[in-house]
This record gives sequence, structure tokens and C-alpha cells, in this order.
Amino acid sequence: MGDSMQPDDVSRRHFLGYTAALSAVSLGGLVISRGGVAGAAIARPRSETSPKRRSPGAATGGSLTVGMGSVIDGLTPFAIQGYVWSQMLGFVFYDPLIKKDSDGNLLPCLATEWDTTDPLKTILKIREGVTFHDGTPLTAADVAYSIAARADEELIASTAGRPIMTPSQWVSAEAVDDLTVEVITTERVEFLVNPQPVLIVPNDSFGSVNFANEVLGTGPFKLSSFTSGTGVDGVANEEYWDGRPPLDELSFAFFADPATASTGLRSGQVDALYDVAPLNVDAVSDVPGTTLTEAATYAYWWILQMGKPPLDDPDVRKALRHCFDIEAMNNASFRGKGTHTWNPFTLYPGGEDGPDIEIEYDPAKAKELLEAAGASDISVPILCIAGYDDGIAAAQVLQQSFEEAGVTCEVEVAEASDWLDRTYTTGTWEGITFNAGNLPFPSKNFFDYLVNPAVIFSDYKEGDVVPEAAELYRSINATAFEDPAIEDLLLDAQNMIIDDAIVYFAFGAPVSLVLPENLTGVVSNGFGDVEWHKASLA
Amino acid sequence: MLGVARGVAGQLGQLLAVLVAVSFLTFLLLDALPGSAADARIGPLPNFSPAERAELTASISEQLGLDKPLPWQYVIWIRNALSGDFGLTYQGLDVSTVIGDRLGATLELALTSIVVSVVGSLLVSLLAFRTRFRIVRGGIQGLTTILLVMPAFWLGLLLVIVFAAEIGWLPSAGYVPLEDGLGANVETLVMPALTLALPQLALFFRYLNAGLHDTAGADFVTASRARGLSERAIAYRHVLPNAALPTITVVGLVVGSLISGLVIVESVFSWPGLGLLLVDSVKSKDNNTVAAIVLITAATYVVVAFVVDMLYRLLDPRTRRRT
Amino acid sequence: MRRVRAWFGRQPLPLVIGTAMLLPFVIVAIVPGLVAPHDPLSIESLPLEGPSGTYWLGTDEVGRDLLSRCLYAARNDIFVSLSSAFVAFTVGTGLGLFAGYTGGRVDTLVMRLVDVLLSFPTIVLALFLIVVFGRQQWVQVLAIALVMMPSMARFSRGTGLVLRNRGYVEAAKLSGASRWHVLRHHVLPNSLPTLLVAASVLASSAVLISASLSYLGLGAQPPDPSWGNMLRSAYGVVYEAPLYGIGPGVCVTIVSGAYVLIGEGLRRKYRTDRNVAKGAVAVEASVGVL
Repeated sequence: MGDSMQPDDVSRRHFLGYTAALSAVSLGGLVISRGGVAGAAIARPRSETSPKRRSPGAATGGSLTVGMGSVIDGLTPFAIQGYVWSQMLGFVFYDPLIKKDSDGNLLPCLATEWDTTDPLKTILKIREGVTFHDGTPLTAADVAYSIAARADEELIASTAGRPIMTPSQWVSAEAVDDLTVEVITTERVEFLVNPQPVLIVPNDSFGSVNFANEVLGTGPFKLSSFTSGTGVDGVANEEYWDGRPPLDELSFAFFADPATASTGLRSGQVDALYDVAPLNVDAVSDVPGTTLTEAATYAYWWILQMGKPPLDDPDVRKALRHCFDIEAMNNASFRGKGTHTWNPFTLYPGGEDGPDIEIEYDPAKAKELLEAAGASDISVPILCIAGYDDGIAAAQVLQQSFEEAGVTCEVEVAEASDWLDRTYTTGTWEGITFNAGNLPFPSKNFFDYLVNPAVIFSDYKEGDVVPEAAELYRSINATAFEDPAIEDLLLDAQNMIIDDAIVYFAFGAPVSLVLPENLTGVVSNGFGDVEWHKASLA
Repeated sequence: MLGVARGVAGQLGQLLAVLVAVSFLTFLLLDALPGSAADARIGPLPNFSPAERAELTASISEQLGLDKPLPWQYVIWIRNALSGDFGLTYQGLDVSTVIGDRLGATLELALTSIVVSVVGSLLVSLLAFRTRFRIVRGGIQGLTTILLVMPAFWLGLLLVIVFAAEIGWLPSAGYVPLEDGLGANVETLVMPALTLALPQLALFFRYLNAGLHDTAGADFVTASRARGLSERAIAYRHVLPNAALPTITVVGLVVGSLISGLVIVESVFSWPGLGLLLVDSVKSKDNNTVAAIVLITAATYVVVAFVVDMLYRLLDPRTRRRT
Repeated sequence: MRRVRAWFGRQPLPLVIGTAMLLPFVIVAIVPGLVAPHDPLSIESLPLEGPSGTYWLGTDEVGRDLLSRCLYAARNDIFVSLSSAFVAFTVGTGLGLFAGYTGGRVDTLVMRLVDVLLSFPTIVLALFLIVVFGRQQWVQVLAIALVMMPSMARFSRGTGLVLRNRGYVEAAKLSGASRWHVLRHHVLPNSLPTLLVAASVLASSAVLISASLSYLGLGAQPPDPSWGNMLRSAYGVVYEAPLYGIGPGVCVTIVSGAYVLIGEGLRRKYRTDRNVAKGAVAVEASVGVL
């Protein structure tokens, strides 16, 4: 290399190389991704792709790895963050007091009987012969402590327990004898059916057990290892009160989000997937050797700010119902796989058959009705929660329709903490917002989720029909829900609510489980509770 | 000698002041965010009426000491931090433990990518400097420029599409800790490290390249040639060391900003590190975690800047005289 | 006409190419309606369709034309990158030149303040500002400018230091000129070429940072398109529509590359200072590869 380089030579070559490289990269990318669409359809045995499993042996040898689209930092059973923990990991390592079946009935778990006739005193009978993972027997004192850890002010502060009642409602939880607990409150509190149930730990154990990284529960699996943010491994609990689980090992791998979890299944990192959102179903429906089952119904529902104009006028609310382009919103949110209802109570399994109404999408009609109501120049903003992409997509469809009907509409996406602040804490929000989640059980809680927010979030006026409906619902005791006399009351309330457009419809779509074909015995009650302790590999 | 020591001490003092300022600023900013830590502990479910919620918030805030004035909270936090106690996350986990768990993963990724980018850039720039084929040099220039201007997450996306979705050689996401097997660990490490390292490599290359051309034309190189030294000797013995000096500065600055790049890469590849933890903590208003991470990254930057400064003084006598 | 062509031919090649690459985007940013075939906000078709005759790049996850969205996104991204680069440039240069030229305690104080900003992780600073002030465009511009400003300040401080000792400055000071006069009439004009190159680097980084912030969900609000939030959606649907991300990714790369080429061209044009090359890259490095 004797010749010195001239700057001009370099720049020209630089440019040539730049263009060549750019074209090569884009062409290559296009070709590969084009070919990729076809390539994905070719079945590929998973063992040839990336057979990295954390536990030895293939899926047929008694060990299973499940992927989850969310990350767990700690195993603490007190601070239950959402369904993933309370319905999944909680039930793997710990036991709750009661469980629910697919009809919505309550089943005994660690509590064999419960007496809620006295609203201020709940009496629980504890199951005999249960032991914790270290061999110590379960007694009423443990249950009392576990309940207090999520209700007592000071205990909550140190355990970071998610409260199941307020300090003013809480009095005490006492072990009356070895197998009986009395929980005393100042008013009726439905803590037994709290969607994030109390998980039972040994008495006085916070402080001596490092619950963030260790497990001391009664559940079907014992902890074998935990890597924060990455995954957790469990081994079968030989002494489990309901029988040793058939599986030897059960592991969970965490992914940052559901889309990434799907790729984990495709590449063979995990054998199964939990909590597959409707939007991600297409990505995992064709993986060989697996089946897709529905585990829960994920829904989002629209909540109206009825305490402020313009939505405080029932005529305005009824007019705006014609702006919902169900088909387009379904496509945008769930690729057309969702179901909707204007009567929220028919959307989940075991729900009541209330009046089912259909409302036509007709923005022109909405515009007319608005004019008739003297509200032709209104503004209805839509507030979305960041991260709920399906709701955000639907909000954009809705915005277009609102604009067509002559309504000014702005979509805003707020972070969860901001949204919480504006809706629950300060109540400064306006217009329409939505909340979302896996549908809970049963109707009473349903009311809590769909109708109550409309009531809670808005400052409804005196004499409004809403308080009557709310009163009606509050008088229903969830644990005495099976009482047929209540059905009429429910129907009345539903009619009231729907006629006055207090609730805008809910959209639901199945949340799926992807399981290996040779895995049987997984119990899923349709509400998102998935139990693995009867699962076995053929 | 004493003057040097005083200079060093002065530097240290200033850097400590920077750290304090950063941590207090973080506190202020966190306080300004809407929502509160108590809200996060209660959760979003509408199990409680507004009155009940307000009661819970007040009770939790009082227990956590959130109702005290901000400077007082800050002082308590500093005092605890000095003894290694960074408080609890809103889930009740010990912050230092959570960060410690995640730190390993981040360090692994960061160190790997630095090594790959530094070594890679050295090799590539030597190749570009010494090659006889102009097309090779042009191609390298072009590719590195593209890498520089490409968004990192796009690069990551393309890598995922090719290597994970299509060829299936590598897992698309996730992390296998070193203890669980070196092979598996490397498999999960490859793509994130590449996504992080390649743009850095391009950057170092440009810097080295400019430095190399610069020095190559310098007088002493001409003199060496006149003395009859082979081209290779000139390249290795004279050009490269002098070109490397400014690179140290660049490396120092880049390490500081590596952390931001990590956030993107960690989120694309589900790499359970500090970057991801940081974003999630800010969004969920987990103040203790955010404050701790910001402190760590600020300290890292400060330490690196200090070391780079010292190295510079040692290696290049021309800069010893302070302006 | 011939004189114009001759002038063009004298400009360094990268400058010409870079400007040629950037110009279409600037035009599209100003009058997107002229080029875009469809309305970027109207939901016209089924979501995630592949490229077709009507929708050249296919549709997005709600059913809107991807090509039009890509083009309209230029409006947001070009504006944000240029304005944040401008703000970072003016504020950073002003601070840095002032500090470097003045020296002493003022210099140290300003540089330490800059260090405080610099040691914040980029994302945290931007995240904070956006969560507190909202996701409007001006907040994005401010956030990105704040992130890039410290490196610009550091860099121009160096230039200020160097120039402080140059001959013409001494001469001006000897003849009794005030500090401001010297700064404005001597330091600034002589350092401007160097700084311009750095400014181009800033602009290129601004595009990338803005795309990254949008990717994390902190950029333009739906339904407005931006390249970053389109790439975010693309990642979510990578198995259903792998080609989604090609368009926005290419756009970001071209625009960012255009800025770099322009900078390269400016470097060639003002080849008075060897420090220009090193300086530009130093600014690149300290802004970071996001």
C-alpha cells in the first residue's frame, strides 16, 4: 500500500460502498422476510430448533416448562400483582382458602366450610392434615395470620400486602381453636372471593422467611430454584394434601411481554404458554405438537364519566351508542375473534341471561339524536391506559366514528399510575375511558368491575337511577349467590342499567393456553384459574 | 506531587457533588410524577370505593413515611443508602437484592458488547487501512455508516427475524444464567450483544479511522517511511497507539451512555437487566428502585469519567498542564 | 445555469448526496398530502394486510395505509429532530463556548452542571419529562434537546478553550475589546464550521433518540403516526406481518444517514481544522448510540 489516499477518492468510494451496502441489506431483508412468511408454514420438529430446556429430559419425561408473558421479580405471596401471580404461581406454590369451578361455584380448598350468615363475623373451618413444605402442620393460627397480613395496617406496611379491606373495616382474625378461624369486621367484606385471594403462609413467618426468593407454603409444588426476572422451577410436593402431582417438575419462564413469549414457544424454549392474549393467538396457533385451549375471557369495557357534561345527559349517552363500529373495533382489537355485548352480564360463562340488545352502528343517526338532545357541539375525549394495545386500537376506531357524528374527540394515552390517579384517586378525568382484564367471578364482582366503576368514577347526582341499581347490587351477598330469589333482583338491575346507558358495551375475547398435545389433566375454570397439580404427560 | 494529589482530590470532590445533585434531582422528579407509591400497593382493581381508597392511601402513606416533607425523606434515604439499604420495592422486595439479581445480566451484556465492539473495531479499521482492494474499504465504510444511523431496535428486529424466526439457530429472547450452562447462556447472549455492539463498533471504527488517517499523514510517519520501516511496522508501532489515545475518551463516554442503549436492547430481547427494570419502575412509580438505579448509573458514569481523565493525564503528557 | 451546475460540482459529494436524501423527506414533511396516496388516519381496510396495488406497504394493525402513515410520520419526526437539534445546538454551544472561553470557576461550575445532566440515563430524563408534562410534541423536543445538550456543551467548551489562546483573540483583547465582542466576532465565526458538523451529528442522533422514545411508547400519541411507534407495532406483529417494520425502519435510517452525510460533506468543505473530524465523532460518541 504505497499510494496515499486522496480525500476525494475516499469520499467517492465511501458513497459507492454506502449505496451498495444499503441495497444489499434492504434486498436481503426483503427477501428473507418474504421467504419467512412462507417458511413459517413449514412444520419443523421443535427438537431441531433450539432445544434449550432448563430441566433435563424432553417434554415426555415428567417435566414441563411454561412460558408467561410477564416478569416476576419476587415470589412474595402477599403483594399479589395481578392475575399472573395470584392465579398461576400462587396456586403452584401456595394454596388459597377457596377455589372456583367453571360454573362459578365455590369449592373448598384449605377452608372446608365457611359461614357468612353474620355479616360482621366470618367463620372458617380449616382442612385437617395439611402440612407446609417444611413438614409443620397447618393450623388456624396460620390462616389468621395470613389474613391479617393483608388487612392489618402495620403488617401491610412491612409485607407490602395488597389490602383486602380498609383499616376501618378490619377488626381481627383469630384462631378460635386449632381448625377454626373467626374473622371480625365492622361491615360486610367479601374477602373470600377477592380476585387476588389470600395465600396461606405459616404464622408469624414474615421476617424469618425471605419470601422474595423462598417459598414456604402448602402448595402442590416446592420451590427448587428461582432466578428473578427469568424463571422459577418447582418440584412435586410428595405430601400434598390432594395427592402428589403426576408431574415431577414444573418450571415457568418469564418473558417481557406476550409477543416475546410467543416466540419462546416457537423456538422451543418452552413447552406451553399461559395467558396468550387474543392478539397473539395467530402467532402460536400453528406450532406443531401443541393444542390451544381457552382459559379465560379477557375483556375491556368502556366506562363513562357520568358526573360531568356532556355524558351526564342520558340522551347524549344513548345517542353516542350508535357510534360504535363493532366490526372495525373487533378487527382492530382482536383480529375479529372477539365477542361483544351491550349487556355485560352475558359475556362470561355462567352469567345471567339478561336482556340482550343490539345497537346499530349509524353515526348519522347519532348526529341526529345529538341535535335533538341539544348537544350538537360536544367534546368527548377518550382516555387510554398505556400498554393495553387492543383498547388503544379500538379507541382510535371509536375516535373516527365520533368525529363523523360531529363530536370532537381526542385520544390520550396515560401511564397506568397517571390513569389510576385521574380515575380512582382524584376523579379529574372526563369523557370515556376503559378498563380491562380477565373477567372475574361471579356476577357481583362483575358488577364491581363493570358497573361499579361507572358509579365510582362518576359523581352521580341525587335521584339518578344509578344509585338505585347500585343499592340493589350491594344488597346481594356474593357468597350466598346461589339463592334463586336473587335472580329477579339481578334482572331488574340489569334492565335499569342498560336502558339508561350507564354501561357501554364490553368486548371479550378468549385468553388461551397453549399446551403440549400429550399433556392432560390441566384444570382451567374459564375465569383464568389454571391448576397444574393434576397435570400429567402421557 | 502534592499538587497532583490536590488536583485529584479536587476532581473527586466535584464528582461527589455531581452524585449528590443527581440523586436529589431524581427525588424531586419522582415526587412530581402523578400517582403515588401507595396507589401502586393498592392496585388498580375497583374493589374499593373512592372513600375506601382514600383511607387506604392515607394509611399506607403514613406507614411508609411518605407524608413527611421531601427533604426529610431524602435525608433518610441517603442515610439508608450509605449503609446499602435502598428500601423496598412496591412489592415489598428488597431493592438492593432485586438490583443485584438484575445487575449480573446487564453487566454480562454490557461487557460482552464492549469487548466485541472494541476488538471488532480495531480489527476492522486495521483491515480497512491495510487492504489493497478499494471496494473492501468502501464496503466497510458503507456498512459501518449504515450501522451508525440505523435504529438499534430495528437491527434487533431484523436479527430476530433472520436468526430466530427463520433459521431458528438462536432463541429469540430470554436469558439463561451462566450457572445453567455456558452453551445455553451464549446462545441467548449472541443477538442482544450483537445488537448493542455493532453500532458501537461502527462508532469506534469511524473514530479510529479518522485518527488513523490523521496520524498516517503526520510528519513522523513520513519520517518513518523515509527511514525504510515496513508499512506494517508503521501501522502497529506508530499509527495505532497514537490513534488509540482519543479512542479512550470515546470509550469512556460511550460506557456512560451504554446504559440507555441497554434499555432498548433489553426490552427487545427480554433480557432481565437493569434497563428494563428502570423503565418498568418509572412507569409503575416504584420510587425506591428508580432512585437506586439512577444513583448507580450516575456513579458509573462519574467513575468512568474519572478513570478516563486519569488515564489521559498519564498517557499524554501534553494534557498534564491544566488550562 | 452553467454556473449553478459548476457550483454544485464543487460541493463535496457526501454533502450533495445527503441533501438529496433529506430533501424529499423535508418536502413530504411540509406537504405530505401531495405525496401520500391515502389518509393516514382513516381506517379503510382490514388490519395487517400485505402489500397490494392499493396499499403499497400494506395496512397497519387497525387497518390504515402503511405507506401514507410512513410519509405523514415524517412531519413529526423531521420536525422533532430538527428542532431538538437546534435547541441543543444553540443552548449547548452557548453554554460551552462561554464556559471554555471564560475559564476558571465559571468553567468548572458550568461543566459540573452539564455533568449532572449527562450522568442521568437518557431514558430516565426523557421518561420523567414526558410523564410529568404529557406527550405533546414540545415536551418531546425539550426532552431530546436536554439529553443532547450536555455533549454539545462539552464539545464546544473544548473549542472555546482552544480558541481562547489563538492569536486573533489575543490581539482583539489587547486592543481592548470586551469579552462579548470577542466571543461574537472572533470565536464564533472561527469555530462555526466545526460546530456545524457537530450539529449535523446532533440531528442524526435526534432522529434515532426520537424513534427510540416512540418505540418505548413515549412519542407521538395515537392515532398520529411516527416512525418509532410504527416500529413498536411492527415488533408486536412480527409473525403476522413481518414486512410492517421495513418501511419505517428504512425511513429512519435514510434520514439519519442523510444528516451524517451532510456532516461529512461539511467536514470536507471546511477542512481547515483537523479537530473537526475528531470533534464530530466525539459528539457522536457522547450523545450515544441509542
